[in-house]
Amino acid sequence: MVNRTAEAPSIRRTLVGLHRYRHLLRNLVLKDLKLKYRGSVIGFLWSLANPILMAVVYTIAFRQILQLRSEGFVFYLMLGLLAWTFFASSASMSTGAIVDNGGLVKSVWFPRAILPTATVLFNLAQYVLSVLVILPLMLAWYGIPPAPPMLLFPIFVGLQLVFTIGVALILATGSAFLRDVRHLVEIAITMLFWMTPIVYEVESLRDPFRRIILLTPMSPYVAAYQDIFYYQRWPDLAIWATAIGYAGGAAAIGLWLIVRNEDHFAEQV
Amino acid sequence: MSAVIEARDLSKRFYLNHNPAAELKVRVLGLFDGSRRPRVEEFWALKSVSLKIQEGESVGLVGRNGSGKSTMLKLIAGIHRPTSGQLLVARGARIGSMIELGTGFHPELTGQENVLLNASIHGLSRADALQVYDEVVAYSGLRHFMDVPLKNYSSGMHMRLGFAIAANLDPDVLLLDEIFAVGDADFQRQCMATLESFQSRGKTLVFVSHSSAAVQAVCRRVCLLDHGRLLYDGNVDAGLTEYRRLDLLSPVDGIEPPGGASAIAPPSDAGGSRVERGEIHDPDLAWHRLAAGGKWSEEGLWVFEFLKRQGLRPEQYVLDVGCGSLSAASHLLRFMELRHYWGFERNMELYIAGAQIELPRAGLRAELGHFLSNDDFDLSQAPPFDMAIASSLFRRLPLNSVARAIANVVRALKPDGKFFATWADNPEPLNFEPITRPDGSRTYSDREPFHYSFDMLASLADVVGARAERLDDRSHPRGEAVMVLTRNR
Repeated sequence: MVNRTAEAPSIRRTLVGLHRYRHLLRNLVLKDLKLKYRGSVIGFLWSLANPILMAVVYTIAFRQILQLRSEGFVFYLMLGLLAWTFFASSASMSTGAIVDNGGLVKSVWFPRAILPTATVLFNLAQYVLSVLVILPLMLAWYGIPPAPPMLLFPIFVGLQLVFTIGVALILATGSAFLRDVRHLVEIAITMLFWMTPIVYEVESLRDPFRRIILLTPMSPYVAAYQDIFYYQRWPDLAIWATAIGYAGGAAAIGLWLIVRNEDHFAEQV
Repeated sequence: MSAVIEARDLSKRFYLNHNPAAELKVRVLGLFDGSRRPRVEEFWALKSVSLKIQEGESVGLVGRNGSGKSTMLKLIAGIHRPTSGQLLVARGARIGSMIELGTGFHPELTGQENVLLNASIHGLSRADALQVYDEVVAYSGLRHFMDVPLKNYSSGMHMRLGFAIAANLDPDVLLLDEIFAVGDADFQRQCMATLESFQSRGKTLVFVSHSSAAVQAVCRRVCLLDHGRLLYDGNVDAGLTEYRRLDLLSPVDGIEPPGGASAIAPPSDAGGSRVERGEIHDPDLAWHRLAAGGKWSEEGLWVFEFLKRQGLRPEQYVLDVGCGSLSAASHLLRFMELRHYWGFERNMELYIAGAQIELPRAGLRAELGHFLSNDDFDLSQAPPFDMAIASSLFRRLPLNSVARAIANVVRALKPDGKFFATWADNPEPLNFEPITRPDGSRTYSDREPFHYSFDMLASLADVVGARAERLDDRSHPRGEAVMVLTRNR
């Protein structure tokens, strides 16, 4: 006999559960992708529409209206925007990952961490697809030859993924207990967008601001993509340290939170 | 046999938040002002419940709304954690829960996609899910609809698919929560057959239902919960009687009486293929029929035809012992003269379902006949009868009750009256092992449904002043043998 009561929640139990339910994770991601593109004529291309449209708007605003000129601005912008879209839509969708699946959570047991993780992987899939289309186009357009730092791209995507899953676990757990989290997240995302070097270059900032901006959560990842593709240089130590630190920190806090609380979700949703 | 589930002093507390929307505000204000701390109310859904469920048992959890039945299921399923006490579950036992049919279904996905997704929600690997898929398709009978999005399914097809998945996941312990509250009679018959095969393979069933008839048909043991406490644990009939008594005591608001107003739904059995039709019925509407073992209308017709073969005439008096939900009355009330048909049934719920649903459906009224209901076969108020019949009654009665039934019915006969009774025959008096019937059901020598040898019943009849004679009639729809009992002169 297994004592359900004595079986304390642990990170190990959750990780074992995640592995056992990996097929569910896969199916949930595939379901969301299918549903998103089913019945639409141009399908996946819609996912490109948003970042492209934003790029057009910012380009007009910065180059034509504000008369700021720099070489390859659109490329610089797209690198940041695509990565940002991955993070921002993961974060805002994750607040509903548990709350909006109340029926499921209340009637079947499975590791709850699967739900926010699936949300993030769904957004990752779209990010990767967009990058596969846009990046070669941009590199070809600006005549940028492949450079060794570009090999780091998968590593930073991996770090951003870990970071985003961590954030999603925190937000999904938080909004299950406090519905206000959802609204706070929407505001925070807008603020964070301007505190991340996406539409402006970090290099152009003076020092106290430059450091503060580089310390905001998404900056190390965005800065790393700009380094390896736009400047074709190796990211410096500070970027590595913050990128790894934030990813590890967010994942640890997120896992700890969801493990501590997952048995109570069924009562909260 | 070993225990699969054991609860020791199990309790579960919930906190009720009366205004969750104001929570943040209240918490912030609470930091400054002690009197504005959030008001949280405690609610004990289960309180010190101890029970043990053995492998292969079928246990019915009954109780009024909010009594803790569903909480118990959810604790077993691992969806909630106990607040105190212990809940032990057999190591490695696969627990399947049908707490809601079709959870996780998505209307935009096709039947096939939904089945595969649902299988993975229940923890199946891709290979296992693909294997189960074929079985689910065959079971549901929805092969031609598997590439159609679920939004185009009728509610009946929706449920059929949900149940097909749950039925084919093949767990060791199956938790069912009120799943028969929906679905047409056909669907419910299929559910019933599945549960029977599940039981016959020695699997464990924990069944939550408001419907006494459903519990009676499925379970061998009843646990009655009230306000989170275990009030009764044991025999089905006694447990249900206790439940009914509780139910009568409870105030009307918020509690659905078994067979309430919604039970009197318009008849909807006519025509249509089983796939296209998917009306939602009240549980008792079809259940009172299923309680008879699934051959409700066949059996009613058989009783009528059999009695006619035995020479029943409209001006005679006939007694239908164990008339159930009036399957035979639907024919006999029309055939017999006014008030010459008498029905006797111990289970009032079945009789009410028959009178409210089946008779109007047949264009008849209960006032055309006489009906009696009591616990001890008291027929002293009835006229002397020319004929009496008890179809599939003895399989529900232990030997002493059979004796009482025979004694009282025979006493209510005219001197030359005849009492026809069918029973599940045990050809060898010295065999005490279960017997599998041609229709797949099983009968037992020491528990319900009972089988008896003819000799045993004949000597019993002799003791209570009746003479039994076996008839050579093999036409009973459930394959029961027939005897005729007459008064011993």
